[in-house]
Amino acid sequence: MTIGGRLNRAPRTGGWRTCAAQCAACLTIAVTTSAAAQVHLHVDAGMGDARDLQGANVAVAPSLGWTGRWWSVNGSGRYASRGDAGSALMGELEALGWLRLTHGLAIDAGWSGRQRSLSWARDASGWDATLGLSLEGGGGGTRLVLGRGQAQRSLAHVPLSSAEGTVWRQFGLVQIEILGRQTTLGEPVPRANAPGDSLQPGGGEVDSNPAHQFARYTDLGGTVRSARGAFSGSLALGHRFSPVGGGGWWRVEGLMWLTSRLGLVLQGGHNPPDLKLGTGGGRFTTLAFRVSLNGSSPVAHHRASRPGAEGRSLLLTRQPGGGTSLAIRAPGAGRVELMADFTDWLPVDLVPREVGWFDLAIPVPPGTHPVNVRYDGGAWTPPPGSPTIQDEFGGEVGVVRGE
Amino acid sequence: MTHHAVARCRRPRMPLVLALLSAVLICVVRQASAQDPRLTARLTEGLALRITRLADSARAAGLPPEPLIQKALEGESKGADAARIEAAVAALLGNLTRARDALGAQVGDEVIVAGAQALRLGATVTQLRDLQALQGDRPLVVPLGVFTDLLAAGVPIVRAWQSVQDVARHGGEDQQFERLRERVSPQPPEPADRHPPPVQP
Repeated sequence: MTIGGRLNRAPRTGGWRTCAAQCAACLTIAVTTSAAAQVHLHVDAGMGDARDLQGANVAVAPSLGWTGRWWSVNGSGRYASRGDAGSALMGELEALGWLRLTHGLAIDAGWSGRQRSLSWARDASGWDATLGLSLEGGGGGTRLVLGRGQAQRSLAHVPLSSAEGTVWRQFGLVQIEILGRQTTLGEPVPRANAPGDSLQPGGGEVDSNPAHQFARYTDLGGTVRSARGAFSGSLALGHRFSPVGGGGWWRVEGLMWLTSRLGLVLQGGHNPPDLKLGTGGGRFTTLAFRVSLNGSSPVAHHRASRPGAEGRSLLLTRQPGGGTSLAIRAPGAGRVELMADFTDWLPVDLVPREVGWFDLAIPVPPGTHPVNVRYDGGAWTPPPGSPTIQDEFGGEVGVVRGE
Repeated sequence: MTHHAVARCRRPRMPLVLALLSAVLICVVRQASAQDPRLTARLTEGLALRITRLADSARAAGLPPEPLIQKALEGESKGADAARIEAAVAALLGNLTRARDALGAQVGDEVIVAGAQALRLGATVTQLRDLQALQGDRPLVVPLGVFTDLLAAGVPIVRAWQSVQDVARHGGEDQQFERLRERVSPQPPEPADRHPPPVQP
């Protein structure tokens, strides 16, 4: 349960409203299913001062994701209800597919759509299709994305186009990410009796047709994420520049697992309006419990190692039916091989799955196993981040445990 | 049926039984001394024979031979010479024997192997015995594995032993040992970092 105060900004009026003594409580139920298949399901249920409805309300927010070798599909929703203000329902669906061109270079294409309903009547919707290019290596990477779609403005949709660049890098346990994004709503309208595309961003002489209203928004921001033991957290800061109204935004989130089943989540921040839906924005704070129903927390399910100096890390995932799957993140590597007692010490190629990740096709049997890996035919080394011991042959071997 | 009739009926069966017993015995003996095809395929003939003898010794002593074969295969894959491979296998056989002597013949092979690994990393026979006594009827595989992991993680043996001892004295459940392991090997970021989500303003 939570208690938190928030200043809420009415999205339509643009004025600030102080919501005194607002309490937010949120119970988060997280279910992670079939971790080996990269399927996750989260259900957030609770009460809060939501982004969807002003004032305290009851909210339920499920989220389901499925990540395959070359694609991922994620869906999420949020239902908020307050007795005197009706209800709000927001849903988002995102699908992304990617293709590796080289070991570090990949292209991706995706689609995402978002819709909001008020008291079960559709209020706003927006979507965009994206085309991206990502390059990863040396513990970091960059991604460029172009998007095209439609956004809600007043009672009509306007064309939406966006260009986004992201750069990230891992420093030990900390990941830092910098983002720049420009979003354009509407289309440039040639001014009457004037040659060329003389634009009037966000005001001046604009066509009364909403589809032709034109505005440009530029977001610059950064995020720092980290996790250690039972703790994980992130901090995002940024600023939106726009002739029609910008401002700073920030968001902080912390998660602490109290037990393997119960965690505590603290969120707070100030969001800018949602450009796709033309709604939202404002300050919020939330303190919530996160409950994992399937017996252990995601932290317990995923035992990934500390990334090494070259951004390499080991991921062991407990499979539902027994056994443990193994994956190694080796940015920049074209080939990763593994040998262990369960391969009779014969090298086995790991299967490249997505940019920087390689999967062992067979499960790690239960028990403790000595394991060596090598990258691009180099020397045999312990898996990144695993406990390491000297072997009897002048080298080192890592210890990996299957369950 | 008379006594002679019964004797006539039984007489032909004796050689048959003896023949079957002999066949079984021969199979068992051949099985025991047969060289593992993985060894003959990857080691020189002489080394494969010597490793097989060590494995047979382990088998005769009630110890699992497979770790010895794996150790030889590991050495071969890493390009070690025959003398080094044989020494490594012999050392492992010694540790398996010490672990079995410390923990008793009634424990499973995986416990013996975990004990041998702990011994190799500096644990003592007394510590294995004490841990077994502290655990009583509770399983030993996870405690020994955690003890080994702590040693592998570079925790000084005195401190590692104290930690394991404390957990064993205060319940000694596998989950408690797992938590001890996690404290030494902190959990890193989730795999979501593969495709970092964009900053959501």
